[in-house]
Amino acid sequence: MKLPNPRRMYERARWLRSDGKPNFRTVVREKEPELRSLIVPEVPVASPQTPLLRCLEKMRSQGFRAVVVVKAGEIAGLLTFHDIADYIGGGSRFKIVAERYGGNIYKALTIPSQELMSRNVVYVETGDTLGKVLELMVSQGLGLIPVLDPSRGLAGVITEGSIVRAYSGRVSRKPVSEVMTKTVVTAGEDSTIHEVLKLMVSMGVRRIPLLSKDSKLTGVVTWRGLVEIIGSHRVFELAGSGFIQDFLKLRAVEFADSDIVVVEPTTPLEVLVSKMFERNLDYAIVVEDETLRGIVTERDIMYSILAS
Amino acid sequence: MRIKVEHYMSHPVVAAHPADNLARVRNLMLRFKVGHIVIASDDKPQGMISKSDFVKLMYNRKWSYKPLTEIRAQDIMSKPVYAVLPSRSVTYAARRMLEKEIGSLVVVRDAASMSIAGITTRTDLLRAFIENYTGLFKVEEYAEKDVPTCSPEHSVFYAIEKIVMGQPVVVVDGGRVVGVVSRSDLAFLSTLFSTLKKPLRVKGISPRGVESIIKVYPAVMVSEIMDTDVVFVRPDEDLATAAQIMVRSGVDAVPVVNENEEFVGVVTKQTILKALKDSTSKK
Repeated sequence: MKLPNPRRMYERARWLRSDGKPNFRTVVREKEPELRSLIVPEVPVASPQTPLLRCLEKMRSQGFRAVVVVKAGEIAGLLTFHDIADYIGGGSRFKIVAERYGGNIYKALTIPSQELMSRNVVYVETGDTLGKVLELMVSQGLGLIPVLDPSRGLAGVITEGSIVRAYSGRVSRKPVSEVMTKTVVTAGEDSTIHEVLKLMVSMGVRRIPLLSKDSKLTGVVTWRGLVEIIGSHRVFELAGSGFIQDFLKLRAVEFADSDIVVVEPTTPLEVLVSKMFERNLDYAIVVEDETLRGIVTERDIMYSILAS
Repeated sequence: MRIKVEHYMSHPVVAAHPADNLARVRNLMLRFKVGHIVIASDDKPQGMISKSDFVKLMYNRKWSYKPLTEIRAQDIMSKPVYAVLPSRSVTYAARRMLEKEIGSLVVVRDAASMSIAGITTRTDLLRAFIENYTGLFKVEEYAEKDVPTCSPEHSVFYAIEKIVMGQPVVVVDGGRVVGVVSRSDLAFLSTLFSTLKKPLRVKGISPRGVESIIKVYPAVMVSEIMDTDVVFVRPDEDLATAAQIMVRSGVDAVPVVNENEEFVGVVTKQTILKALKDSTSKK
């Protein structure tokens, strides 16, 4: 005699397809790759009382846009370029410079990192899966996640860049115009550093292309250029009398990046990525007929890899 | 071949007037990225101010609450200034620095006029060591075993006390090195003392054993100021490698660890000078 299918269960008015027990025959098995290959171990690390200037020196020498603040083996905070831009002129924390330090740049740059860092950092542990990291990155809009080794302290960070580098083989041959950010935040070519910093903070970007009056690209001011000026102590020379306002009113074009990757909208993404890696840059500008069409950052490339 | 001081000195020299205030001296240090400012009047060196003088300032109860603009350079500068001729060897300069326990020598054109030609610091001599004595010395021969260490929970004043005596502090937690405190970490920490003036009111257990609101003076701990980006060397490595690390990252000390990552000693700038002093007999 044939018995009814034991896996079907009647519940109130309908038949359920399962009796609630897991059916191991149909489980999708996937092995998540380990995070180890994605972690960048050489990150600038500071203590809560480390002066801002020392943090910037470290950021400059290691070419990194954030400093992880560590206290007694735990991640106490994260000091990103946005926090610094907010403080040195771009946002509401510029009040600290103006009111507590009277605009004195020497005093302002010795502020301890713990006063500027963002606390409650989102971090993962070395045993976590790549899926969790990607979920956090996409849902919280993060570009950088510190990785904590529970037994040994900070293991490093995972960035959009390190993910793109690890999966650079999966970059598609789509034209750049399909992945680029089309609404670019730009500034005029004679805008000051203060205006550029304000734009960076209010719009949440780190790279601002400068356009001339007939909307031709004259340069790109990035976090790297600004970190370079302060980290190399050149800022003290530029702010002749020692007031930060003297530095902020300089024209931003003079500190624009000299080395830019410029591509056409029809360039395949693959070619662009290899160009970016060659010159060790994290963005590219898309230009058609000498007018700006868009910007491609590591985030755009990572999202295109995820989508495919 | 004799390696002369004139090849390993920096010039022009950053100088200040004895009547200048310390805020100006600090600004000069930051602006020109130097650690030593010569205090001179009429082109004659009168004294020297280094980062360790700023650290000493914090330790000194008389000066530490004064704003830097109220202290004049001549009040805290180290005197006298020791000078060296450009034709002397770097070995002689190293010996002189060790004898007098100082970190820099003014280079003068000739002994009669005492006009400044440049300045040679420990870091300059470290460069001389890297370029001329690579492969001659081993870390284990010179590593200093008997050095001050502290745990991350020590008060920062303990570290300052040791640094004032001329030794960088290695922070050890359970046999493992977690950080180094050097002069440049402490030199310009102005906020350290302002946080100490007011007590915090927190919930806690009072001395009588009752739960109440108690006043706590937050002492800054070593773990909050130390440099956690530590680069190690092994005992069998070349001493010039350690010197290279110090020149590149600007720390005062490189901890020496064995294969089990246990702390065995430390190489400081002083250690390199000692090796440089012994180099005449070795080469």
